[in-house]
Amino acid sequence: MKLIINKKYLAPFLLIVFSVLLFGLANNAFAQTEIETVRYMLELTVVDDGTTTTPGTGGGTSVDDGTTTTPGTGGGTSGGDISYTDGSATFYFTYNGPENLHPGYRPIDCYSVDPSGLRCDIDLGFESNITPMSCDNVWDNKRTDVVVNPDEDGNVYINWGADLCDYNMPYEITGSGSVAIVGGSSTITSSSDLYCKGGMPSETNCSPSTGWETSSCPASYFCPGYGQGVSGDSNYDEGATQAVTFSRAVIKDPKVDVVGVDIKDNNKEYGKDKEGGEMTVQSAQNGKDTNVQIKWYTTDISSPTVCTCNDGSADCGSGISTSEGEAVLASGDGGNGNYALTGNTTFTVTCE
Amino acid sequence: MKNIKENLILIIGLVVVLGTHLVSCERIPPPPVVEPELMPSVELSVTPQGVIPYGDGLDIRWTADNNTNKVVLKVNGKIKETRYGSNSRNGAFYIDRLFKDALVTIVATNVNLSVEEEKEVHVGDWTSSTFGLVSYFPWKYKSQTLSSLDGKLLATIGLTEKEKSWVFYYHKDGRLTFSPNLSNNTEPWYLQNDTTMIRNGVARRLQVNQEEMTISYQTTWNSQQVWFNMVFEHASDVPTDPD
Repeated sequence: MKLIINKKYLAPFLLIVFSVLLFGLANNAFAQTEIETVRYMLELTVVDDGTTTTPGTGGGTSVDDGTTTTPGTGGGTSGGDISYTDGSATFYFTYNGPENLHPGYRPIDCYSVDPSGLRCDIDLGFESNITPMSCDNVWDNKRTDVVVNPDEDGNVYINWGADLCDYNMPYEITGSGSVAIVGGSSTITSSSDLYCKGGMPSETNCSPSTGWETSSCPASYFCPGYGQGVSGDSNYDEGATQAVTFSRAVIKDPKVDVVGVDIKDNNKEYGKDKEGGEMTVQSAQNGKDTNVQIKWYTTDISSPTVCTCNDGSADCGSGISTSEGEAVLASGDGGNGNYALTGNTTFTVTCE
Repeated sequence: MKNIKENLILIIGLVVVLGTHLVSCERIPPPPVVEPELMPSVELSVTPQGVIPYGDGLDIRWTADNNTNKVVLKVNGKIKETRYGSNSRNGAFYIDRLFKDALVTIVATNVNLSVEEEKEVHVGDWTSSTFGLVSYFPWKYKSQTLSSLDGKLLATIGLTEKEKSWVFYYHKDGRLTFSPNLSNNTEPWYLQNDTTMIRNGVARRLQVNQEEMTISYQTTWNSQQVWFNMVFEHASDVPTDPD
């Protein structure tokens, strides 16, 4: 396919290309949301019961205070996070736009997609009596956008320029849910050998505004005016409906809960959530008899985030809970699997 | 010339008289014969046949003859819209999951005459499928263990009271929910096969019977590759989802 550009259009063409590149870079930067580091520590105080003389690993001071156990308050921090995945928000969409020339017909129909998405089915080449906001009738390879533009009050505005004119088609969102703000964009690959019965084909560009991301955007084209089907690709003929799906981002609260299990004390638990960050156990007999099991549970943390465990001197495993309530077990010490602690040890699980 | 004119008038008069006679002699067509309406017929098949496992799908297909103008599918008396429309003589309908017995009826209609074909579909109880074993009752932790790759028990991991209090609900519609003391989140789940569960998009080994369910994954423990097994037992005798 030959691309012929008139000299007088060269400067504006280059300006548009440069602007599109800048726009794409900016949106990519938005899309790569960094996950805040989450860290939780479990401090283990080992109590010498009088029979052990082996110094413990991991540093700290052995305290000979009998059988006292002292659950403490949790240490570490949990940070806010933004995820693109599922959530519990529920939304309903109502078309509030003006009537089309064909009563009851909606050129764009939007409805909710579980769990918190918006899907818009767009009829290519619709005929509208809606007063355009603006109209640019320059025959050019103008990129026309389908812009889902929800505002903070939950109204969705869709600008659609099937005839190179921009229209407002408001959709009202009602419902509730926990949503957060992310950015994102989608770029449609170009297609060759497409031509219109009249005019030049325009390319749809699914551009979610702040708070939404594009789940799917068809590489679709349309021709200016009603009844101007696109030849060369039956997918985009007149009357074809293309779906654009947007998803709302959901606020997640990533955290990691380190659990220490006192094997000799009826599996007492410390460190879970905010209830305890410290626990005291009896010292391991001869430094070999295991006295502690360490595991952790992560919430709202997904790959590629990695959670690694460190006991102050060495790594003690890594992993995330791929489902709620799925434990990740520390790798244990070299000889016994569980831990035979004879000295104070702090287990720290860091997710980043 | 005058004779010609007189003859022409005579000829026209004869034509008019003869034409009138011809019209009056034309036979009145007999009324059309109304053929009796033919009885339509339809063949109905359901797959699989016999008792299907709890939660399995059902494939319904039908073929009607040329005397059929309309076909309606009913399942348990309720009309099902098919993508073929009622004017198509051949059609198919797929039910994703069946949890109880069903009566499939296909009604073929010509104009006034109709014929019905029925098939009874029997569904096994919740123990008849892995899907039923997983989803029928809620679960709670029973134990956590470590085993070698060849199945030998290596260690038991202590469970705290809090962990034991968590309840896991595997709903029939593919949602996994939890007791509030664990999480308010909802996760997707499905069975890839009888020994693999996809939970939140991640594959886990599954072993389940009427009393226990074990979900496992491989990890490194004590410098060796092992199975970490999360063993669950029923948390209640109240089904997770109502029938």
